[in-house]
Amino acid sequence: MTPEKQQSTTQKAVINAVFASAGFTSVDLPIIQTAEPFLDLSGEDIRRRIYVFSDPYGEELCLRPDLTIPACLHYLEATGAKGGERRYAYEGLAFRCQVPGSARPNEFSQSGIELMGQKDDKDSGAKADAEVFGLTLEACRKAGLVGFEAKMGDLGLFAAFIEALDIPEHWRARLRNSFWQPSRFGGLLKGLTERQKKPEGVAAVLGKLDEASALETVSGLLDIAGLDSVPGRSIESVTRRLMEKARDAASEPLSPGIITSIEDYLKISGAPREALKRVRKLAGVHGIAIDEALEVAETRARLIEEVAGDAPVIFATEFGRSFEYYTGFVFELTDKGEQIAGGGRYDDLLLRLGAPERVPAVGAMIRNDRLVAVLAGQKGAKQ
Amino acid sequence: MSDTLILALPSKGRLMEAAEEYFLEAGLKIQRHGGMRRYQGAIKGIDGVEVRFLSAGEIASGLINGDIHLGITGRDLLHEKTHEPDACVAPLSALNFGHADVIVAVPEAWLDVETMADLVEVAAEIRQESGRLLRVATKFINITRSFFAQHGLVDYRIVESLGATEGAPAAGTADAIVDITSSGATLTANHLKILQDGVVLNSEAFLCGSLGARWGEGSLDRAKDILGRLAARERARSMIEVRLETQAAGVDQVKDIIAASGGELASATGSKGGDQELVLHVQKAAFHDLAASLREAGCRTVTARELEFIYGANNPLFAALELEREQAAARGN
Repeated sequence: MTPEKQQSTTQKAVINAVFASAGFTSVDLPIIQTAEPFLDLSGEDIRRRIYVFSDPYGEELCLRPDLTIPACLHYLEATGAKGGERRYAYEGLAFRCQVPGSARPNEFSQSGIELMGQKDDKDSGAKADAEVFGLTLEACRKAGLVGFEAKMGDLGLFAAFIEALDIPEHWRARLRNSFWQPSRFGGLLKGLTERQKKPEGVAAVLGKLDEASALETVSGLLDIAGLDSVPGRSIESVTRRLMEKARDAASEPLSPGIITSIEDYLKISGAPREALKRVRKLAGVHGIAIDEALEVAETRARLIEEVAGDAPVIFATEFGRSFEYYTGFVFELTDKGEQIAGGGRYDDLLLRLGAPERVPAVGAMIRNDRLVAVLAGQKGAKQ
Repeated sequence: MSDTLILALPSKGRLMEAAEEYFLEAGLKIQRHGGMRRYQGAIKGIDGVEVRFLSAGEIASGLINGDIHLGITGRDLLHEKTHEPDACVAPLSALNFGHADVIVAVPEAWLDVETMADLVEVAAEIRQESGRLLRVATKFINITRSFFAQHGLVDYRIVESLGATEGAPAAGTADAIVDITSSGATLTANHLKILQDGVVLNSEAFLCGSLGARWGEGSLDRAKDILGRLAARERARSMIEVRLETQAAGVDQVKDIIAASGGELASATGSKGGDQELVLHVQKAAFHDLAASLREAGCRTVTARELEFIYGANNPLFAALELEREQAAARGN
């Protein structure tokens, strides 16, 4: 065994022991997965980043790009409709396609934990978040990591912030849906401050009707046009969007005050509890009611500052916006800008994968290859 | 195999006919070995050229990977087969046939959807309401991916379609399509409409040169010959030969008028009575205005006739190929 390999094996054992001591049991997850759930959750574009292939019988398969979705599928199979709390630990390879010439590896080892199905209340959530964060930190420290940085965010807090704004629901939906694409989000904010273009034809009329008459009008229109169905959608949804367009044109644009509050919110970054104080103040000034989400964030921040000890932790409102499938707490540990570990809360994922109801879940993974490299660098620096 | 020039032409349909016509007009008769069913041929009277009859898609791939030297294919296919067609294929001449647009279309019954921004919202709505993704039928997988990415549309799945894409929404196998259309008639027949900003690219047939092919002295010579003829024919098609007589005293004024119209003087000969006969080539579109100006300036007869070929001092199609090959070589270093 090469020294690196030896080092890596020892490191994985140390990490696994930390996870095991907290009651996380090792699960063996298949490397080859059905491609469908990955494509359904992430969209077509993920094909550029994962290895998808077909077996001779035409089924589309892929090499797992991460171990969270396989762990979720394992949970669904193990618990059936009963649900209940499970603590899984895993260690294994994940595979990502890289652009030609990239220095990034296309296979790399991850050690991780997933805590699924804990009680669905805010205290349990904050505690589970802090526990997963704390275990990740402890595992990295026991493996020998020093001098890293931790960053965290809360996508649930942003969702609550948008929810509390006094704007039409479909504008909220637009903001929520584009949040993870910063440039589109910026464009959308700007667009909403301008008066929407006047609808033409049918939309102009629909704005003045109630829902039932609008629906009748649209059905009539489709009839006249000889269109007997709305492929892939419903007449209701077409009507609703037409009415929204008509109302958008008639209503006042988004006020500059609301835009400023969103922009100011997204600028907040600092030590967790101090940053959340600023969020609370901002919400107060603009009359945005997000107390419940803030309390969760504050409880979590307190617990995390405790477990972090002297490790520097930054809370940034904007952090995590481009991560897939996370819904609440998100975090990462970095060394010189490179992610060593990361994770977060994904309360919708199990439901989307077929669970009968929402299953709260939070998890994290450590990039073993990067940790080995950083530890080797630390050692080199000492000698 | 020696240094044969490989020329690929579409193997069937309108595109095949138009391509063979394009060569024939330049005096290059394409011959199929062993009749219509065979897929190899030659150009009558020119040695060292192998003609291959392939599908337009295969021609695009062949140009990209360097299996063929010259070929006729659509811009849509080049973009589908590689992210960077400009890096490996030199488009030499737009051929003015095979016009078609690659477009995004949705069911006409989606009265609320007019733009890509609407489609992005509807995709999110479908995902939230029914937990599935917007399904898009297409055979242009790469073109679709990059166009949708530009518009921030991510909540979708591609349903690969190998034929009759426009029927997919009515059949319930897809919600929207990305497809090629020339007249839009098939879309209307299938109750589909093109989004306002849903024209992904305008395609037409192009004569292309491969930058990655092995170009030897022999294949370059053949290409120079063939491209020279095609260019001379293309030039002749766009220009007209004009002859006029003018009095010697007015020659300078007449020459100024000719220069202003963009015309090129081909010859000037003195003739009886001090008159001069001038022969020039001018763009067809500029001819009638030029004739009017010349008559005003006192030219007695102005005649014009079509030409078969105009060989100029340079060989523009071959020069374009050489330039692109040089640039590709510079990029490679």
